[in-house]
Amino acid sequence: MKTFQSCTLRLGLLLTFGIMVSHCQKKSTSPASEDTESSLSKEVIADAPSDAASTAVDYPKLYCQNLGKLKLRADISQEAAFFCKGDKPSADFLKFRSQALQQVNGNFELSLLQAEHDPESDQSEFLIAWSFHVPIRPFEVKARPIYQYVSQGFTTETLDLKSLAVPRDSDPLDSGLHLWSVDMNYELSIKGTQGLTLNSQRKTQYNLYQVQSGNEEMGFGLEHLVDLNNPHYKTSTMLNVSFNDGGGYNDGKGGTVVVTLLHFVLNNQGFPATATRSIQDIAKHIADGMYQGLKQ
Amino acid sequence: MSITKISILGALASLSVIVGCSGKKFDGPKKEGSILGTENSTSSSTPGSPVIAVTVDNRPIEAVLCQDGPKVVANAKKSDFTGLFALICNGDNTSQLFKDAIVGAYQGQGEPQVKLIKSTSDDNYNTDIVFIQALKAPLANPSMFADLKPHDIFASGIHEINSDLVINVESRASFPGKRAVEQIGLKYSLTNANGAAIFDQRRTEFNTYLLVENNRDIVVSTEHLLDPETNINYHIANGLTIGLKAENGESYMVFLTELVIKNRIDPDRMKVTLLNLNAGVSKMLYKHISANAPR
Repeated sequence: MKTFQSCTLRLGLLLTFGIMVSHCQKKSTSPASEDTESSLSKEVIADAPSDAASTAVDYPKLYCQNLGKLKLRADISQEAAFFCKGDKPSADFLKFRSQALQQVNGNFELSLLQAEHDPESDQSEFLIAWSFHVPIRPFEVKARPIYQYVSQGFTTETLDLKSLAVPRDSDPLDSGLHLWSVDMNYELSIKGTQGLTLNSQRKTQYNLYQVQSGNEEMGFGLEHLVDLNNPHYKTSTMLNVSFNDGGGYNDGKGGTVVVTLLHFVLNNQGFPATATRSIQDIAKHIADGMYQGLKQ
Repeated sequence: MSITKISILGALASLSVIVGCSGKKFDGPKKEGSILGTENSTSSSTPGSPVIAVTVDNRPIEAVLCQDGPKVVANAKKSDFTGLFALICNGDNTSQLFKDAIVGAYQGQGEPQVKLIKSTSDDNYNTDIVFIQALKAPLANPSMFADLKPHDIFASGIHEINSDLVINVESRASFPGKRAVEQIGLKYSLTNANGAAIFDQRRTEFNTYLLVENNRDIVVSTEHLLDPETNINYHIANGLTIGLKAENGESYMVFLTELVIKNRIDPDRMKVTLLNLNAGVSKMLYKHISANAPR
């Protein structure tokens, strides 16, 4: 079992905050096994823009059965819980997949799931998620340089984000499912007054995985903070979950659903509204960059 | 010589005012001192009503000052500024003292009014001085004040009627936290107090806050003594600087300073020195703003 294949997913956000995740269980299941298919996912697959005949694979469930087996470079138990409850997909996971399958021409929106601010510590925590559907296959999604899509410069009237992605070519991969590793470096300036800016930097590492050996229909991207003593960011995590839209299994059929979760815990310096606006702007920039890079 | 007396400076720069801080409140025996300043207050305003017709966050700007100012400043935990806010606010409204300062704000003509509102001394040579002054300058909004780096102009010294004070900027940080847009470390060195050579130094921290996060029309700065326990010249050196948008592209800056000076046997010399230097500060700031503010 397990050979490799592709993966999908990707990307992460950068920005900073972190994400976390939980594990999903490790029960191994054949992709073709009927017992992996939930009634909810059948309904969703019925709406998929692909061949309704191949509803045999319950990708969300298969994803959750295998995500916890991956050897990762960061603890994502908190963030993973957004997608999986044990070896079963969460309602949020299924909702975002359903939204992606129903989208037309990339008309997706970001959801600010959490924006909490502690005035005592000046700390803000954000969870942002979105999903979209692209016609290219999961295998191709994994093959594309998603780290470049999310590291494009971004300038508005109030902020300036500079990003740099450097592949870790000399760094050994961790397993046959580990596809690539990239160092990410971000410099963010937020305009406060005409002459004063709020500057922050963060270094992350972005890794891409195939979720299950021999299954080219699923991929997982994880970006996590590597400078743990960063004074501005406590967490900066992005999870990218990608999988076949329901139309095929290792047979060249079907497009890809990509669900992304960003988790940031950061020092807002006493400006929570500014932090919230800036994070949302940056998340939108990342989401748009990903979609534009993968849409065809 | 008379190295005695003196005290300090004041407000400086405005910006914040000075004052010290410390956690220690001086409460020795006091006796009333003379009031020296130019106390000409102008009371043309109507008691209780705002004198500035600007609203922020759907509230009169003066109400924002008195409702939000004490909270934002207290949350930063730099020093105790409640006594200074009590002088300029009565509940949600500004006090007559504040309104008078606004009405009498220096606008580049004549001499700045520096009002001494408290002056007490005790038998242990401690002197408690509080004064207020204001200016109205061509600033579209008061947050631009920080952009003009006003403290930098005092490095060459404030020289006013036989008194000399130098203020150097020792550090500067943008967005240090707690809604502050800037934090500046300052060193004051008063070398000549109304004709008497003295040694009088202190280090303070000046923080500027936005009271309403996304609004630049009202800012409050605090200044506090960094070494209140060990400073040989001051128990307290605290200041509040209030920046309020006015009409027609101008802004008010109000400077409130409290100094508790120790070991000065000639408090009157210090009062004269401070009042003169602070008048000089107002003139220098007005000139700097007028010449450098974006039009």
